[in-house]
Amino acid sequence: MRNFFSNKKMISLLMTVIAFITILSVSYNRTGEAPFVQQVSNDITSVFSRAVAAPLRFFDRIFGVVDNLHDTYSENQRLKAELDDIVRTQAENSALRAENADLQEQLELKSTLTDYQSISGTVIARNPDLWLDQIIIDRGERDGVTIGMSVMSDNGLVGRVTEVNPTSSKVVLLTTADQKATQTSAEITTESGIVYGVVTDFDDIRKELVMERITSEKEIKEGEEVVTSGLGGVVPRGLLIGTVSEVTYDKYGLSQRVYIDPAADFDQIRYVLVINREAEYYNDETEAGEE
Amino acid sequence: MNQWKRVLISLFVMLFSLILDGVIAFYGGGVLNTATGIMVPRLTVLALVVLGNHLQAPMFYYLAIFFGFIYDSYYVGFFGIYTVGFFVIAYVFHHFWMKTYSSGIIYTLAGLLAIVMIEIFAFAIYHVLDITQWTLQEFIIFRLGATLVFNGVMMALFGWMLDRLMKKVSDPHSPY
Repeated sequence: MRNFFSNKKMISLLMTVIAFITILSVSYNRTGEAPFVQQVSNDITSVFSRAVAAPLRFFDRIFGVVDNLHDTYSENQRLKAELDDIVRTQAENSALRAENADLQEQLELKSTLTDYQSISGTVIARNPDLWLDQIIIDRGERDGVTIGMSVMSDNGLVGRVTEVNPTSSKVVLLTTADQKATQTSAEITTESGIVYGVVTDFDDIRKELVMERITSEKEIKEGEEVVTSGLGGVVPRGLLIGTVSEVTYDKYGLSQRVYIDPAADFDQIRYVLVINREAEYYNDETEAGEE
Repeated sequence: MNQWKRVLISLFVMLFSLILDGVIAFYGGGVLNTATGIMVPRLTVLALVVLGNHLQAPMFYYLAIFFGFIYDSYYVGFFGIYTVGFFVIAYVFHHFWMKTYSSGIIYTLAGLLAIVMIEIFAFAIYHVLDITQWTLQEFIIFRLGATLVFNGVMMALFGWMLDRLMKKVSDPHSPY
């Protein structure tokens, strides 16, 4: 025993292992704001990251323009065909918006689950190790970003903010392996009514999101849109997640399991919108205080 | 003077590779995530392997720990995996270079060995933390193979360039 503890290398190794486990467990279980040192280190690294990403973004934009030019004719034909339908939808939307505003006024509603503000941002890096599928965006605390906000790209939900620094933020994507971090309450408006569930997983092989915990037996059809339900408390209602690609049953055969074709392309996230829900979520303490 | 030059250039090389890892993963998302497997850019680890042949012991370890910390902080969000992983790589390869000579092939093989070490270490930790449900077989088939191919090519292309740069800094009269 005496020899064991006089062995410097063995003691150093043990100390390193103990320090490793302690640091890992403390930092992994941390909730809320990142420590000051981490914020400073992340912001300084993000400055260099922006400098390296800027020329690449320039070339990416040029290639994007060339690519777009190539598709212009066919896209133009398709848009012309859709134009009539859009005019009709716009007229219907403005009528509904006015009606909605009247009803909100009558009910004295300040904000609903669908109301939100957005902050636009650019992606500057992505976690290379890919176990935790995370991106880093150039918007932070100074721009009004807070932990838990939803993030959209290509009109589809891509993830949520997990860490905020003064000038940059970390967003965990719905495709990440750690599904505890990304569960999102969702709904599908079917012909027979609304079906609620939770987006719980991402199927790596099918490249599709999985929606489970569906208690309803209402029929869900392929092609129906899946949107956020706003019931989770932080995410606003009505953000598009994707469309139903297949409906099966879970391994027990008890509840429906829906595969969702994501609206966003998770491999090509360049620009994002950080969504700030306006409606406050239900709080037991506030309610009790008011009573 | 040369020692400080070497340290400054090493700092720059490590920072540049660390950022390049993230930028490659970001812009090459669709290309790196193929049907045959996921290629994970590990330029920081490759740079660490080459620098191990040119930097002195305590300074090299500090550099590894510092950039491991930055990697954990900037990309992962919690600390430990790469701080310890980079230190272990630095320790192993510092001793490795004391016992062998350097050449293009040795650099590539050493780089591949380092990638295997860091990948298995990261996989083990993520598995323990229940962040991934992949089995060891899935990890080897869908991730490790493709990652080794990508980084092997990167090391063969850029390893010798970094080696020559470091030799030039160490000895301005070097034929390189």
